[in-house]
Amino acid sequence: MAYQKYTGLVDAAAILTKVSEFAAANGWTVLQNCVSDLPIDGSSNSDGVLLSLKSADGTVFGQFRTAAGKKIFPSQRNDGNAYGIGLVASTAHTDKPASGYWYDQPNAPKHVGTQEVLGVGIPVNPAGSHTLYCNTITDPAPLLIVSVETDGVFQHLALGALQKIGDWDGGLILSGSRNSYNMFTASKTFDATTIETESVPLFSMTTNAATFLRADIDAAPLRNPSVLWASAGPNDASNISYAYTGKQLALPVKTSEVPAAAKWNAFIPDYSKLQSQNTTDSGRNVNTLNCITVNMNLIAYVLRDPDGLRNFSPVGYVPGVYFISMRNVAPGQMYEISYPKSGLLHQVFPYTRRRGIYGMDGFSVQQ
Amino acid sequence: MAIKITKGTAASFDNLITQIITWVTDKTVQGDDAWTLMRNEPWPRGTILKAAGRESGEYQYIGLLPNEIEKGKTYADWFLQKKNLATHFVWSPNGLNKPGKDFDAAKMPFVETPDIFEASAQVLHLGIFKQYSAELDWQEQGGGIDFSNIKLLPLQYMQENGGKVDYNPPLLPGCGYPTLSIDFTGPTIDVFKFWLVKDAQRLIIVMNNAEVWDSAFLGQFEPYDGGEYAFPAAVVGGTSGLVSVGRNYWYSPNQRSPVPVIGMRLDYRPQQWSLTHGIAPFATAAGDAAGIPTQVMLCHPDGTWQGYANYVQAITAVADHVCNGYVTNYHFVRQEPARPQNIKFRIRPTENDIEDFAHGYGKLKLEPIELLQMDSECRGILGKLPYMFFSSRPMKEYGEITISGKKYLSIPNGWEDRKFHIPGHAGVVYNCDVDTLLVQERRIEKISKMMNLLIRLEE
Repeated sequence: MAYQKYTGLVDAAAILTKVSEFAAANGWTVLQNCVSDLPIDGSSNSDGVLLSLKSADGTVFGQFRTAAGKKIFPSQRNDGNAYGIGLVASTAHTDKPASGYWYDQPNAPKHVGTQEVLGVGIPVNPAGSHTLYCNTITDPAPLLIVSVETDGVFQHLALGALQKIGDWDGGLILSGSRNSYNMFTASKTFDATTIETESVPLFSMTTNAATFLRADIDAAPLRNPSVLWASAGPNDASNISYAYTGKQLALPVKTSEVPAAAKWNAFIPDYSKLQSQNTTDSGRNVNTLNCITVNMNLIAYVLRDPDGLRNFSPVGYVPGVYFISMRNVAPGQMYEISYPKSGLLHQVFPYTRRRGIYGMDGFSVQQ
Repeated sequence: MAIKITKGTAASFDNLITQIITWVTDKTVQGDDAWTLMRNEPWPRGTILKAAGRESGEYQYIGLLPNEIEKGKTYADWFLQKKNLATHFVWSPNGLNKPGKDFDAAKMPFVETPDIFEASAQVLHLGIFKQYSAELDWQEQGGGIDFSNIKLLPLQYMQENGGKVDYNPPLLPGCGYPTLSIDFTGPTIDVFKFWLVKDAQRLIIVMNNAEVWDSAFLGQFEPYDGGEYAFPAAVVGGTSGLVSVGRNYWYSPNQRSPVPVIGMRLDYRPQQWSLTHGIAPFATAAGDAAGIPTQVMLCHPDGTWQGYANYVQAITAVADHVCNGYVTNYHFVRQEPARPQNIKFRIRPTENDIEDFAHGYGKLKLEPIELLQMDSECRGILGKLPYMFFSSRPMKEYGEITISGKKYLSIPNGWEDRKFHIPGHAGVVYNCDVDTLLVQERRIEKISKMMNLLIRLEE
């Protein structure tokens, strides 16, 4: 579907208003349209708005929540600068969770140790000038991507379902430039470079996992407590920053924080050699002769039982999103990626910025 | 395909660009060979024109990027921006190598204000691209030249232990590309004269700034192939800006003698007499290193760009006279231009000595300017630069002349009677033997007189 671009948005609430408009216009059902919500600290003054969406096929539920000065998840760092948008995915929706907390939705991702709800999020300067790009994929599976650009640096949120390989239970996928624990920036001034340093690539495997997949993997749902989600990070519950859900998700885009020899690394076909090796490297997924970059599929793999054998199985594709090199393309622009003439347009984004912390790495979204 | 010619005067590079745009896009003048303006903006976005490519239906993008470079300011203003420090210094393995570390841009440990320029100048960078993307800066367009491996004179930064470490700075966007230049204060006498020669696929720019000449070629050269050469583009300017320089560097407080460090910096001034600024047949590199950019850049069949050079003009360090056992200072002396050993891409027919060059017919003949590849992979002539010629005899006059009934523009290598090299520059003379110096002087003079370029001004 065609993307939409909105400019001059001042804060997180303004962004969510436009996300709601876009989603409604593209087949998503708006269950709660930017309604005021109470803070999770028990006080009674509303501190943000809530946007709840359901995909057209009824399989994907997502709750966006603005942070307007207070924490919106149980555990979050930099909460003295709590401005941004959080996102939780679930298999159903309730307007009034029993706990009273917005994020306590049916089967939302949880940390394996603390059983606290996990999500993704991005920081948003409450007095900024933000440009918003909204993309949605409907076929073969639903996916909504929210990209916010401020001072040249992008932050992304994605909610949807995998294009499955085979038949299995689950499929919801949730990703962001940060997980919920790390969603706020340490910079009081929302310094663009600081925000970059805190961000991870969308749909990537990294230390501070920010991609989660809902899947019934072998006997994991029968564990106590049950494990319903896989997280694309270390299998380490000791640090909530890693956002470990109890099962590992592996993705072909890996940050340099995933050392090849690390015990938690997933030995899957990955793009680590194609990716930019540093800030000034263009990566290998680009051709000097014809300036073409190739759309590389984002395949999701999950760790099979028993965990100790470290066997990963491919379970599906992120629909309509591909890893690319940004060497010859500009952020937010449309390109006909396939050569020579396919008619297939893609909008391209850097993970943060071109020649930024992830070099020229980025992704394209099919239109 | 017919060539079109125009000439005029311009008060600045912005003014020249405006006149170029008006002329090359004018359908009444250019007919089917008219180009399309994609954008015309200040640095770093620049001017980009869409022109016909080699085959029907193919395109190339001709780029012009003006900039005013002020020594001590322009580079620091760009480099010390936090995002650029992050990309090129703090997060880069070339610099502090602390990827992902946040930092205070006001507290960078450089010993001096970072700079890569030797002098101030106004410049017009020239480039050719395979693609055009509206949101990308000029030098980021697809198919441009990659300068990521260039080694400039290192900057120094302090370590916590008081030691100093070398850092290889990045180029300012646009620098490295072949360039035309005038003084920082503008044309010497208010305006400079210019000539433009164009057909569907190429543009030649010649400028005469108070009898200091500069020339450029942009577009497709004529390859000697059967159509296999996908993108035979050439960009020729007056200079790449690179010159070889030297500095006395101190790395630790206990050091008794400085370390003579030789590297490249940028000096675009028209009067910079290093041969790295000059006409295409005598293109010169600032160092004898493979892959070094020069004022003649060619897009090879594999899509990479190569600098072509017939000479290298480097610097050598000479120690001050030692009285106390330690060298306290090094002088840096520009060497006589020499034939490169490591640069395997040359320009014919001037790739060999031309001291005694004369055509067999005894008359002035026009030799095509050809591009010669002589590396380990390939050895052969890739093609020629159309409309540009080397004269088989010294030219007696410069400007518009007629040869065999046809109009040509005759230009010297910079200025009339420009010396090929000045022995004893920098106040240090190696060889004081008068006879040796005289022989050298005469040879230099003879070669200097041959350094001319002819450009065709009519079909």
